[in-house]
Formats: sequence, structure tokens, C-alpha cells
Amino acid sequence: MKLIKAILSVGLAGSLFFVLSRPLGPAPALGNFLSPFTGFWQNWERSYQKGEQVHISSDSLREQVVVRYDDMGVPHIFANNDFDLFFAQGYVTAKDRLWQMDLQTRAASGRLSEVLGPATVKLDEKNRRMGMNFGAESNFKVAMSDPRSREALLGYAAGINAYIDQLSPKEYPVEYKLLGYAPEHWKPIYTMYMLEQMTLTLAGRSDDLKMSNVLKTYGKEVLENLFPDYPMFQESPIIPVGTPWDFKRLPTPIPTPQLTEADTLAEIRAEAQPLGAMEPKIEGVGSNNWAIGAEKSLTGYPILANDPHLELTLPSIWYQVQLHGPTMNVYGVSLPGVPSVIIGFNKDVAWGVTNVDADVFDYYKIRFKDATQSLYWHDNQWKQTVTREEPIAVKGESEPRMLKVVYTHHGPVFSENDSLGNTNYFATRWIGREAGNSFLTFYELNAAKNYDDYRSALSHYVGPGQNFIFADNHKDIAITVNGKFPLKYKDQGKFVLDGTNPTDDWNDWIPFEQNPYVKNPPRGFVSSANQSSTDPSYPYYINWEFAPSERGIRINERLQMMRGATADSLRMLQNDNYSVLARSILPRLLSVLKNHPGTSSQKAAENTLASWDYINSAESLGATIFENWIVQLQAAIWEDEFRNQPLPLRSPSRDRTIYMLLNEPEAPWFDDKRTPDVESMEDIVIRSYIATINDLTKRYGALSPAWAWWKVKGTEIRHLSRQIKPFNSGALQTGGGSSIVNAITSTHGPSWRMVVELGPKPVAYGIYPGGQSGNPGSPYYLNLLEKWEHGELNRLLFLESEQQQDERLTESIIFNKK
Amino acid sequence: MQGIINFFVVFILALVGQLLAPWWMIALVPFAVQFWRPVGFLPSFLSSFLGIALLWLGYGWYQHSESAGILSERMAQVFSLPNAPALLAITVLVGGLMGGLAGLAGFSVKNIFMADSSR
Repeated sequence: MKLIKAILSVGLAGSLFFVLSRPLGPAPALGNFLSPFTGFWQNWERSYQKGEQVHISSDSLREQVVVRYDDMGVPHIFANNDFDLFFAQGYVTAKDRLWQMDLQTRAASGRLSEVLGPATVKLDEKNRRMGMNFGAESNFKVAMSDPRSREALLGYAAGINAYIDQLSPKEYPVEYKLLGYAPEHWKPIYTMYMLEQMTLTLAGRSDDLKMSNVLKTYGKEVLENLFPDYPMFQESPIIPVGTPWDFKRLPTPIPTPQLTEADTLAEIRAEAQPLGAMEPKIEGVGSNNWAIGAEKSLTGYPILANDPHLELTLPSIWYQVQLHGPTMNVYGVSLPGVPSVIIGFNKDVAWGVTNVDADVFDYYKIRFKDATQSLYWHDNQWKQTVTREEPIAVKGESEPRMLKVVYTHHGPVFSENDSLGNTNYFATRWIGREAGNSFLTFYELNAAKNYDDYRSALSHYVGPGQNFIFADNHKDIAITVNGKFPLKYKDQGKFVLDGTNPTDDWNDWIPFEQNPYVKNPPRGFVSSANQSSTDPSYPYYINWEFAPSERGIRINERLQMMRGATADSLRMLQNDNYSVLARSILPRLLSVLKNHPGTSSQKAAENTLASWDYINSAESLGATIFENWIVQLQAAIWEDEFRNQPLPLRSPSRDRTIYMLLNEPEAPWFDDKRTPDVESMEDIVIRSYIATINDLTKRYGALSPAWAWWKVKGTEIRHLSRQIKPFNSGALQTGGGSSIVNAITSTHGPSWRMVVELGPKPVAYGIYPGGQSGNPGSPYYLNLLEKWEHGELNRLLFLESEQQQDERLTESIIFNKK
Repeated sequence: MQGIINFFVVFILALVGQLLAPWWMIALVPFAVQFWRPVGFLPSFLSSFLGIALLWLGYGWYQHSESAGILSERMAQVFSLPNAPALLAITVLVGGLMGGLAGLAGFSVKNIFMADSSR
């Protein structure tokens, strides 16, 4: 009897213990997780206390380093050598963002499945097929061969690892506890993975396959008409029209087309895309920057502004930091995982970036000798491929899954089965795999003193191509469309290229000195918003299509008018909600509607549109109607010819569509081929309008403040996990839109807004939606969000020396050599 | 009386144990204590349950209130609970039950080796 009782009670206790010590489906092991001594209850933090000092010693350090936090939780680091400087940057970044750094480098290197299980294997395979590892390894070799980047990478890694080593399991960030794994040591190459990830985000897509399909479906004439190489309706290029190209131009390659149109591509099916080749380019990944010259400012010195638009996440993609070392004293935002400041300012200069969107991702059709894929035809001979083994460890599986990636000299190969049952092979050539030392660009910018330093810093840069804007206290302003751009023939890479033909290779590069740039242009300002780099007079091909022009047009119009500007004038321009798109097309659309007798609700919405001021404010009803209508209208025009076709196609651009609406009302494209009737432009405009109003009414009821733009747009900033909703920001009351200077869409937007007044001493402002800490239990997790939502900026605390006193300073960390 | 002493012993040893070792001290400590100081089936369960539950309640409440619920309220939502106190209640129940059952097991194993008495 006693024995039975003992067995029963031990069994009961044992069972509960068993249940509590292992993960239950998506939930973590509850025993550890719920314990107030070790679990999530531990993961809250206090705000930094004034005057408090924390002492940390490490044997990696060479000398003492001091970190002073300000009231926003921004670390200001003071070190006597670069190694120590980047050691401390690594340490404090890990302290606030460890899990983010872990997740992003895992994603880039295809190691997510190691901690997340089979669900992420596809994603890991994709990133490995992209050759992210190949790219990171080549870049790492170059970085380690230069003492400056070597010192930075090693110091940064040592700092991160010093932080990880002093963590006890109860102090692991809450995401580790939720997912049930532990932080691992940081390897110096991980920095390269972060840069690969950025290159993938900004330059890792291409419409080549879809464009080849358009060519195949509609022929050359239609293609040239509907997909022109420069906007037909309106553009305001980054380098002002009329800027001379005063260099000796290189001969560009001459195409020798060998692929016939019919041969360009066999029927590609939409499914089975191991590379996600059909992923459309995302509108909203873009950015604004500009700088006004001394003659336009009230201060008598240039003022510079930058707001990079990326997917908005919590924690923010950026991390504010000030780095004070022997060669630099710089403040700005860094990328967690990358030493140095990426966008920022120092005593003398300020700089910022926007994406170029160069054509640096190309598809090559490959001819293999046989199924072994060991030989491919190129330049009239069989050449050897190289195979990379990519072992992917998967949580819960004892053996890693092996992925074989075959490389030609173009790059890795993927295959596609066409509708006839044939297998087609494509290689991708991508700038992300090009070896270089882009880190040096940022390192030198951090220490730059003038325009020459800026240009010299930029010469090291490979990719992703960025429009680097610049201003200094010698009153110079400049912008450079910068990156390593292949020297191509016109439209080389607009379509799938011939992998057997050496002329189609990337054979040479545009020399850095010949990349488009302008210094102190007569108009008194420089700017970019991802639009066309130059007008068609630039002698080289960078891309056939850039981001739509509306943001650039609005920015340039306002800067043109600006006089006596201050930082606040530029802040207001960052928050500008005016719709150039509506100004361009809405009067035309309304003139069509006028003759249409609509229902009362249609007329009410029409009146709202007619009295709308073209401003996409948060409360605007007109913005909601217009933004939804323009999407429906484009779909109504192109859907029948370009969507749901046997071959995946791309639709013509917004610019081309507007040009057609205004100037080619008789175009045959307006007719909806799916109906027996022949529709006119007017029919399509009215039909899409009715559909828009019906749709909005169905979702939000009759026209009322429930149609407010911010509610319909539904901007929310999500936690990086994308799963843990309570870590999200909640709905934000913001205006803007994808064609608006204030480019806030539902998921993307200004991930950092910065304005810097140059002068004897720089005066700078900045904000991002979130906060310094990635810990949802920290007072610095969301403390900057409300100001960002309202379009306000924080004054950035720029310390000149370690001893400088300021009432905004709080806690310090003193790092000592052990 | 012996049960009350066991409650305090469990409470104090589990507190110390958890500051030094992982969460499973809430099972090991009650098991060992009730094995060492046998007090009967119900008293061993209750003193262990309360020893762990009150310890977790106290420390959990401290973490929650000191942080003004900044994380605990979010975590409550993750578990689809109305608020942090509800999450704390579940935490306390889970901890208490584990402690209680472990204590009960500790006593009943000891009981095998004990001479029969009124217990």
C-alpha cells in the first residue's frame, strides 16, 4: 500500500515535472519560463539613473573606455583606440539588441532552422541559394586584409562576446526564453552577413523574368511603348538636368543578341520558385535625403536631412550611438551587427543615404552539358561549375539537411520546370556577392572633415548602391549616386540574359569618378528620393526604371522655394503629406466622373474628392478614396492583359499609366478584354470608381470619419518575430503614403528621421519609431514612438569630450582592462 | 506544527536554491525537505505547495509592481489572459502544484522506510 502511494505520488510529481521542463508546441518550457527567479518576470529594466556608475573589466581591452548614457538611452562612447571603441560599441549594442542581431545574422546566413525548426528551412535554402554565404565570405576576406576593418570587426565581436559571457540564463533576452535557445558567440564574419542582408533588402530583386515574358507575349514594339527607359509623364532626376558629364567616357559593350525571342524563355510556370524570382519589388523600400546650401538657410551654413524608408520593426533597424575615438567623433545611427555609424554627422560634416535601385541583379539562362551540371556552355566552350555544399541544421533533426548549390562564373544556379516538362536553368549575377570593403566607406565618413574626405570614402563602396548626400561646415553640399555599377550596354539586364554569351557578362565597371554626382549645384540644394539617377543624357546604363517620381518632384519643388530655412523647415518637409500623384491625375478623373450620374453615396464621395486639398493627412477622407481608387484603376486597366496570364508578367508603371490617361485616352489597353463590350477610358475610370466606393462602404460603412486615412491605411509597427503581437506598437495615427514625402505605408516608412544644421558646432535632431532597447520590458522600448508618430524630432546630444557635463546625461559604464 | 516548520524550511531553502540554481529547485527542495522531515501526506503537500506558491507569489508580485507591469502585462496578452495578475495566479498555481506534488512524493518515498504508526 505504501509502495503504491509512493509510486503514485512520485509518478504524479514526475509527470508534472516532465510537462514543465519541455516546450509545449509553440509555448516554451513553462517551469523555467514562469519562474519569477529565472523566467520572463526577470526581463524588465529600470531607466538609467543619474550619476550611477557600472564597472566592467575585460582582458580583451587595451585601455579604459567610458560609456555615458543620455536620457534617451543613447550611449556616448569614449575610447583611446579603435579596437576599444568598437569593443564598447559591440558591448552596448548587444546589451540593447542581442536577439535582433542573432535573428538577422541567422536569417542572412541561412541558419534560422537551427533554432526555429523545419518551418524556416525554405527561407534558409533561399538565402543560401542567393549565395549570401559566398558573398559574406568573400567580403570578410577583404575586410580582414585591411588593418582598419580588421580592428573594427575583431573589436566589435570581442565586445559582443564579452557581453554574452557575463549573461546568466535568467538574463537572456525574453525572445530567447520564449523560443527556448541560448545566445551563441558572435563571429566577426557575422557583420558581413548583416551587410548582405541589407544588400538583399535594397538590391536583391529583379523583374527580368517577368520582363522577358512581356517581350515574349507582346513583342518589342508594345514593350518599348509601355515600358520606356525613362518616365514619360514626369521626372525630376537626382542629378539636376544640365549637369555636365565632364569625363572621358568609356566605350560601352555592344550587345550581340544570340537568344531569339522565342528562345529567351520557355514557358515559366508561376509556381516552384526556389529563388522567389517573381517577388515583385516592394514599393515603400526607398528613402529621402536632401541638403540645402548656405544661401538657402537662416544659419548661413548648409542643413542636411535624411529619412531612410524601410520595413518598420520593433526593435528599430537602427541604433543610435556616439563614437569618440582617436580619429573620429561621430553621432548617428548604426546597424546592430555592424561597427561604425551608417548615417550621421560629426563636427564638420553630415551625410545620409537613399537607395539607388541600380540594375545589379541579373538572370542568365544556362546551358548544361548534361544532368550532372558539371559543365556549362560559355564563350564557345564547356566550362566547369563549382558546387558548394550547404549543410542546414534543423532543430529536432539529428543530421543537417544538405543543400547543393551549383555555381557558374555568373553565380549560383537554380532550376525551373516549364509547362512542356523541360527543365530550365538560370544563374543569377548579384552585387551582393561582389567582394569589397564597403565598411571603409562608413569608417572614413565617420572621420571625414570635408568634401574631399567624403569623395575618398565613397570610392571604397561596392553595394547596395546608395545616393550619398553630403554637407559640411565649409559650406559644400553634394550628392553622389554611388556604388560599384557594372558597365553594361543599354538595357542589359532589363530581360533575362544569355548565359553562354560573354558579351552579356558583367565585364567591366563604371569607374567611381564617373558615377553621377554633383557638388554645389546652382539651384542651391541637392536631393534624392530613389527616382531616376540622371536624365537620359548620362552615357551609361544604371537601370531602366527607378522608383516613381512623385516624392522627388515634391521635395525639389519645396526646396526650390525655400529661403531662410532652419532645421524645422526641413523637419516639416520630412512630414509633408502633399500628393503630387493626386495633383497630376485627380482633376482628369473627376472630369470623367462629372458626367456620370452616380448614386448618392457615389456623389458624396465625389464631392469629398473634389474638395480635397491633395493632402494625405491622417484624418483625410479624400486621401482614402483617392489612394484606394488609384490602385483599383490601375488594376482595372492592366489586369486583363498583364495579370493572371499564362506567364507571370509585370504591369506598366504608374507614370506610364498616368501618361496614358492624360494623353492617350483612345489607347486599346483601356478595353477590358474579358467582356464582350469595348470599354473606353471613361468606362474604366467610372467602373473602378464605383468598385472603390462599394468596397470602402462594405468595409467601413457609409462615408464618415471611419474612412479616415490612418484607419484605412492601418500602420502598425511589428515586433521582429512577426508572431508576438503584444510586442507590436498598436495602430498608429499617421498620414502619408507610398507616393508621399512622408512615406508611411501600413508596414514601411521613415525608419530614422534626421536633420543636421552644419556650422561651427553641429546642431542635430533625430528620431526613430521605437527606442534604443529591443527589450519590451524596457522603458526605452517605445519611448520615441509617440514623437515620431507626431512628426517631431529629438535634439541629439553631441558631446565634444568625455568630461563635458550635460543635464541630460545619466548612467555611465566604465570598462577597465583586466 | 511540524508542517508549519516544513513550510518555512521549504520557503527558505527554495528561495536560496533558486537564487543559485535553475527552476527545478522548486521540485528538488520540497522533495528533500519532506523526505528529511516527514509530516504526513496532507501536511507535506500543503506545506510544500504554500512554500513554493507564496515564494513565487511574493517575488513575482515584486517584479510585476516594481516594473509597473511593463513586461508582465504584455506577456499576459501573449498567453491570451486578461491581465498580469491573472498570469501571476497561473504562475503561482503551477509553481505551487509542482512544489506540492514533489513534497508529497518526498514524504511518500520516506514513508516506505518508516515503521507503521498512526500516520
